[in-house]
Amino acid sequence: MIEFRLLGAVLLVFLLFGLSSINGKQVYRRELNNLNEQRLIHQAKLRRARVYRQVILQMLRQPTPLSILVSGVGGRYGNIAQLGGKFMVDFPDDPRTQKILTLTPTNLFLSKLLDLDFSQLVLLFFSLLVIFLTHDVICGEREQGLLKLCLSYSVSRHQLLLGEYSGVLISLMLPLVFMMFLWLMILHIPPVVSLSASEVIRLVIIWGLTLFFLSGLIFLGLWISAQARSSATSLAVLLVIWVGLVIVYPNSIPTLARRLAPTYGILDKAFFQSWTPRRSEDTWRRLSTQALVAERLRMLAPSTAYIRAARVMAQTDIGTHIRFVNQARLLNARLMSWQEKKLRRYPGRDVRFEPIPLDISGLPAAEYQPESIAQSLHRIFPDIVLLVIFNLSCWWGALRALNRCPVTE
Amino acid sequence: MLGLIIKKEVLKRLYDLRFFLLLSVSLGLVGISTWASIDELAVRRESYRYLRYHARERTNLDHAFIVKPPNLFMFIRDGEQDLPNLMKIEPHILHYVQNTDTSEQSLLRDAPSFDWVFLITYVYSFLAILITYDTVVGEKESGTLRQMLSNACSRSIVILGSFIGNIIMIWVPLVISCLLGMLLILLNDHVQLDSEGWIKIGLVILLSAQFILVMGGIGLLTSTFFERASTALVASLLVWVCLVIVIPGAARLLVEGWYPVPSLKELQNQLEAARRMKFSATGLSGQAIWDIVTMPGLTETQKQKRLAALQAETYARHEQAIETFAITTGKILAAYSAKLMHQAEMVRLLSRLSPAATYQYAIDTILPAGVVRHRQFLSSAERFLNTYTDIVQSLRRRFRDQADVRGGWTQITYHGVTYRLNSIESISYANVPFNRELLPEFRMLTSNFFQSIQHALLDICVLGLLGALTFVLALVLFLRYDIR
Repeated sequence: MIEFRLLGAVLLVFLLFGLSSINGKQVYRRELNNLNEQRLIHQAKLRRARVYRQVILQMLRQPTPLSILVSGVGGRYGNIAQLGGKFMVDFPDDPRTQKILTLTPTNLFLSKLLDLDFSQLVLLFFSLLVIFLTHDVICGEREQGLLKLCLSYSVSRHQLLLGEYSGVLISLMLPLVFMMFLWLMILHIPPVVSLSASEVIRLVIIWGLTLFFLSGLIFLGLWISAQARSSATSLAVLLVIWVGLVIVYPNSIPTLARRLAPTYGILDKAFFQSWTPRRSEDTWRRLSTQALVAERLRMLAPSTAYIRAARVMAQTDIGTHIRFVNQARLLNARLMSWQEKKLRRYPGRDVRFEPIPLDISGLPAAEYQPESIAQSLHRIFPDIVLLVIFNLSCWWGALRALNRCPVTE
Repeated sequence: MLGLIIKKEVLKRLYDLRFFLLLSVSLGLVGISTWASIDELAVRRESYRYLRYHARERTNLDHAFIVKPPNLFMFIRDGEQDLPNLMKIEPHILHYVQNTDTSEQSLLRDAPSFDWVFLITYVYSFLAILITYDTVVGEKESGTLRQMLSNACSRSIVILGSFIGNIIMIWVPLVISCLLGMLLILLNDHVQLDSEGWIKIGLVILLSAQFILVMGGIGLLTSTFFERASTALVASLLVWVCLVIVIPGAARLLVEGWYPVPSLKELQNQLEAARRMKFSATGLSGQAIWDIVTMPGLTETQKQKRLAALQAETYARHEQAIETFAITTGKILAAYSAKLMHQAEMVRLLSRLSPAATYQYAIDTILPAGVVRHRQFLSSAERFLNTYTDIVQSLRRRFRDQADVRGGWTQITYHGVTYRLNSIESISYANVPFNRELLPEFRMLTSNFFQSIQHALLDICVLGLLGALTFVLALVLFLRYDIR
């Protein structure tokens, strides 16, 4: 069980998690209200449309309640797509025929190192907790002579390993379960935020992913503990690995992605070029490629793979945003062909006002199709594979090290 | 005796695996980050030259563009990659908010830059704690503390010697890594530093040493507080997590919850209201024309005279409305930016509880870099806006007849005669030829070296005080420490 010395740390995690969830719920409610207001405004505009130039489509991406748990990028990069087809969205001020807007208030002057959401707290605190609990499991017992005593009973080494592993895992499950209850309680404080069946399944998968990630870390801790001569060395090695996995690698991914898929100056240069759909397409292709390279890099380390998988399941990852923008672009193309069809039938009605109502039959539906659970699982498949490999290799390493390690000093 | 203890600590650390870990990790990371930053600087410079050229070409009596030069010290501290480096200026309006279409914005925003300050704040401070956590408690567990105190040396000398020895061994990798970074800069042509630049780098290294001293002091403090090395390590790492990650993150969470900034939607609503006001003010009702043309007893000449007077008065009123709209828009945008700044300032104030945040703010102020540098850019832009507005207004008066006036006609036909008046919706001076030399050149004014030091003095003092405080507390605890 969790030692008394770690109780303070766990309480701190609960406090931070509660604070972050309350804040996340506020952001979620505000975003939802903003989007609903935006929808009403757009519907009123559509009713007033008298020429085809005024028929603008608006596709909204609603925030999911799971964004309160795993905030990810959320709606920061845009959750409103305004589409004009072949006409400008903001006539006559802006030549753009499609726009992706955000209503999420962001402050550029604030550095955004970490959002202290559930996945980040797991990555930061629970991984440290695992290190504290596992670094001296084997070598500490060997130092105290308990390992020899243990193995003098009819207990095989792999049974010992599994026993130690289960003990630590159960110790970690308790605070995780408590955190989930706390989160559900916060959701049920009025105004209540309810979860749909698919969101409950996603929540369970996030929880399972968390356990799976922590399980890999436990095996890693046991491996290093069995390999090291003293618990101090084991701890030092584990903490260096922790710095690499949790601090250095995740934060170097954007720098790496910028170098691997450069978008040097294209955004700056675009400022002085006139907007064209072709240029917009090219810019978006390069930006999304860069983001996808960053996503691929996240699949290379268990820590980043876990964060990515949790965000995918909560639908707050960058891939979900790219999916939204791609759907918006396809919808814009459909709107364009619909406009052409209508203008062939009613020539001149793109700008000419007529008293008769506008024929908007067959107008493409502007509904964002969120990812199904199967699609999300398909997308996180490489992350799950990496976590499986991480678990298996660390388990194998721990078992091998334990089989070879002397039972006495 | 003090010298002997320092020597003992230095030798002890020299044979310690952790020291070599610290040295190799810091050398590798500082080398990689400096090399990557120098490359990035070359790209930003090229982009800056392109933007400046086009900004100058496109500046006219309607608008001007100003470009922020790249930060020479971005290898030490960047923090500006998400902040706008190009701004549009119109008379009375500084466009603080950029294009709201996010499909043309980077999808790697909000990521920290991998620079020296990041490495020192997150990696180096962690390793510093990892080295110092067992300074006292480790000696106690191995029994050498009792031996040492059995000699004729006071506890204060022992703790001071241990502290100095440990800090020297943490500073050595820091200085070597920074020297490696400076060597890379010297070997590269992209960064040309003057003497002030090198002094600033020296100051950054001193401040980093000061910050590391605070973090090492925290390690020492926990070492004298707990009876077991493992407990001291857990406690010091928890303190590290709180100071480096939790406090800055929680400060942001609290401020964002209690003092939310208005969304872009609210800003757009305000701008839309101003636009509607302008629209209603520049509209022209037919009633005024009707009143003149139907006034009994007026001859045709008198009607034309009155209509001409009405036209002149309408022009004046509409021009006034257009200027009022520009002033209102400028005020709305400035107020929005001020709210964002205020929120950031509150977060900054709260997060000063963390030495890591204090250290970052001190570096930002001294270089300048990050948000501090962007603020200086905004101040320069505001100054430029005032000068540009004054000059452009006088030039506009001179070239009024060449302006492209856009508006609508309101006409009334009475007894077969058509009377019409023109309204002004917008006046464009974009195509008016003029001498560009008359317009001011934008220069980004940054605070000079002594001003920067003066502004950073509070943060430097806080760091110094924290360092002294942790050592004094460690000393007090060690004086009462049970060495058995």
